[in-house]
Amino acid sequence: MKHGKMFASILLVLLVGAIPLLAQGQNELEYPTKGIEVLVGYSAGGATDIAARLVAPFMEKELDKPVTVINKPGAGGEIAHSATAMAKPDGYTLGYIHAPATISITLNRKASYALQDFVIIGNVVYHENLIVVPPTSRFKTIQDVLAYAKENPGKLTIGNSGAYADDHLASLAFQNTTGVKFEDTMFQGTAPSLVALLGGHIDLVMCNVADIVDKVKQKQLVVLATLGSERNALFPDSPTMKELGFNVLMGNYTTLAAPAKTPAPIIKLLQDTLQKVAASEEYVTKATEMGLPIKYFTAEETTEIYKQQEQRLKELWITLGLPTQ
Amino acid sequence: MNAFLQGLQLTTTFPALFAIFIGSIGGILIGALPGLSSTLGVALLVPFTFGLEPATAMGLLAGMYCSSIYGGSITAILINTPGTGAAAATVLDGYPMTKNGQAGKALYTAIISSFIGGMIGTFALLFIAPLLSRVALKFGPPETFMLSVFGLTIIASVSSKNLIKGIMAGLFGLLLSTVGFDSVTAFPRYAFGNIHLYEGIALVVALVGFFSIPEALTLVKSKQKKVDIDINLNKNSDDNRLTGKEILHLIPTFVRGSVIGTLIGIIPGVGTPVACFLAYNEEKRFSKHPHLFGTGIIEGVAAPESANNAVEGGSFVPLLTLGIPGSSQTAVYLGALLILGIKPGPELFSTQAPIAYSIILGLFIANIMMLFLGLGGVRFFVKIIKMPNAVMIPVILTFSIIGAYAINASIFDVGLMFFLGLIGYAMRLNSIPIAPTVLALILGPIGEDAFQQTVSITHGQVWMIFSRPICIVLLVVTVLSVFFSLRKNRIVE
Repeated sequence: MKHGKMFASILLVLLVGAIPLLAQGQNELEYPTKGIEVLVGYSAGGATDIAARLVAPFMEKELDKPVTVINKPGAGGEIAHSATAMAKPDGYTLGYIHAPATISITLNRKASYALQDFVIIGNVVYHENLIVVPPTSRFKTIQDVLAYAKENPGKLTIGNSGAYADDHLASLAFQNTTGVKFEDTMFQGTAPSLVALLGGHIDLVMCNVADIVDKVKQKQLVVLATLGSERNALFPDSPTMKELGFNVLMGNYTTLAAPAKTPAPIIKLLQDTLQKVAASEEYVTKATEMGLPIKYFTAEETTEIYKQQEQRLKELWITLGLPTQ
Repeated sequence: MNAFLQGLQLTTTFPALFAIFIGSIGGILIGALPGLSSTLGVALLVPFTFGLEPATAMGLLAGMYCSSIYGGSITAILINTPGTGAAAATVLDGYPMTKNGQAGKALYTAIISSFIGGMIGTFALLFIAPLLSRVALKFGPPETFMLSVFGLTIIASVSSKNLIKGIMAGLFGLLLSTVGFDSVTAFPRYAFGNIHLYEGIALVVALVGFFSIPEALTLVKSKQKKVDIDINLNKNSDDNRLTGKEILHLIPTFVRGSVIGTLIGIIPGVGTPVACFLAYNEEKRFSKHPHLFGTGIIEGVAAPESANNAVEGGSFVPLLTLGIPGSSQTAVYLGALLILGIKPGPELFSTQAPIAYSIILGLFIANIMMLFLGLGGVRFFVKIIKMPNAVMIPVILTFSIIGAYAINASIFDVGLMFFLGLIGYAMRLNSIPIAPTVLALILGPIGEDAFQQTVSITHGQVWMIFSRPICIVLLVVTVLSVFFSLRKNRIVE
């Protein structure tokens, strides 16, 4: 009899304890329950940082929890990328990655992360690379440049913002596609390269839209050609290389991402949130005021873009025999 | 003229003046504390400028910028620890003056030199900015390279009496400067696989590592309760003030230092530490008693201090006329300007002239504010030496750790700082001068990058740079500099 009673109570406890397991059907997303950190691989005040700090308060409003930008500069962005890739995949740590920079780091050296370590939330900023000269330059059109370069291979100096940075890669891709040879001169950032250009020490500079919008407006610089898929509204007179018959498309993408293993429902929420933010009028107005070249692409579109970029960069690396350490 | 008056109106409002005041106080504090650089100070204030009127925002930053460059000299003079890179050369004669009981005089020299340097630099900005920006553009990679080479010859004059040890220290500094990404192949040199070293050794980490840590260790080793220095607190003693006669005597020094500072300021990418060493060197060269440098003479403080504040005004030239920052502080400024909707560049003075003038006037007023705060503060600052070591040492260490961490939010940098500190301490024990190491660490990247660019521009035929006038001048100056310092050392030694 005693055993019977004990057996019954154990069975009752087990049955009661099993009830929560039956409640699994309801999938309520308890996220976010606390603040989210977004890692930026460059110092405060830089282009990525500014973009991140533009997006954060808008996301905060949608998610109703603090969204904090954390600067983790170093190793050309690798430290932040690594930290994002290895963060706990619970949706509370996000980070910004870039094409081509995040990809080229993995090709150029043994990186502490891989592109597959990230899942993409959405693209925030995009601006194409372009070639600028001072108005006093002897080159008035890109065709002049190509003609001269064909006759004088390796003589024209083109500045960039750093070895294997996006503009250096854009220059290499440009040379590869058009068949001309430039002399790439490396600087630490676009600003010093522009000083050298304005001082007449180099012939051309490859940079991005945001770097020179104001300078073109103030007639300090002229855009000879852009490497976008269509003409940029800011420079209506500057042709794309594509329309001239050279299919070289290079630009800089700033993308919000999360560690790859972050649960799908959380990612979906973040993707939808970013899409909402990108569509909001207030966001667009503010970005335009600040001169930030925002360009939203959905997660699917962006993932496809990164895949293509990785493919193209791998090919470029092999074709040009670029260093892989 | 109308725009100028409008700018004046914008800058002399109560909020703007108050902002300059707050910025200046913060500046002196941040400048003095080792580990907290003036760039950090400006960067910290930028978020506070959101929502402020442009003139007020600019005033806040100007106050911080001016005063923090001056502030570094306070700790450089009193406790042999430069608060900022700009004061790295001020320790050379500033601390010896304190040891000679002339701390007050040194501090007065520093503030007056900083003020005059700042004013001359800002006057240059106001009146000859367009001319200066043309000069700045003429400085291409070959010129920057030659300037760095010349800068490295200064090692001889900051090596105190032992040239061999100085050269050793300098070469060590050059070696340290190679750590990190190579500028052409992006290969991370000497990083030993540690990604925290990929971008090299940050200057602030090196400064606190080589100056603050050894100083703290020396104080600990001395086992004394307080620093063993006789401070004559008699207000009227000559040791505690700068006499009118001395100020007149220093006028050539002020002018030399300020001109050097302004010129270095207009060249983007060079910066205050280089200017102060260059000014120190030139002062020594033109002096009638060069052997007294390093023993504690006012010229040794006046030259670097007037130069580093003159860099301020100079660094605004490329920022305002070309939209390109001339120093790390003005790079932060650029961000603030863009957020405020101010677009620097050649059209600034035609489309937004009142704002442009208010920025310049803000600098003037910030300099004056700094002068008053500095003069008033000397009597107070001097008492810092009386601080018991038990308080001084932890304070130095705490702020050094904070400063080293804050640069990259990296604990690794703190560890690196201690590592460099041990090396610096060992150097100190062996009478190996630290200044050449720091100088080489600063000039190394500047010179190497410029050299790589020069190789690229000349397509490998580097000797072509000697058809460029500025390069020829710099070559001649460098050769003469080496020749004379070798000669002097043979005589003195």
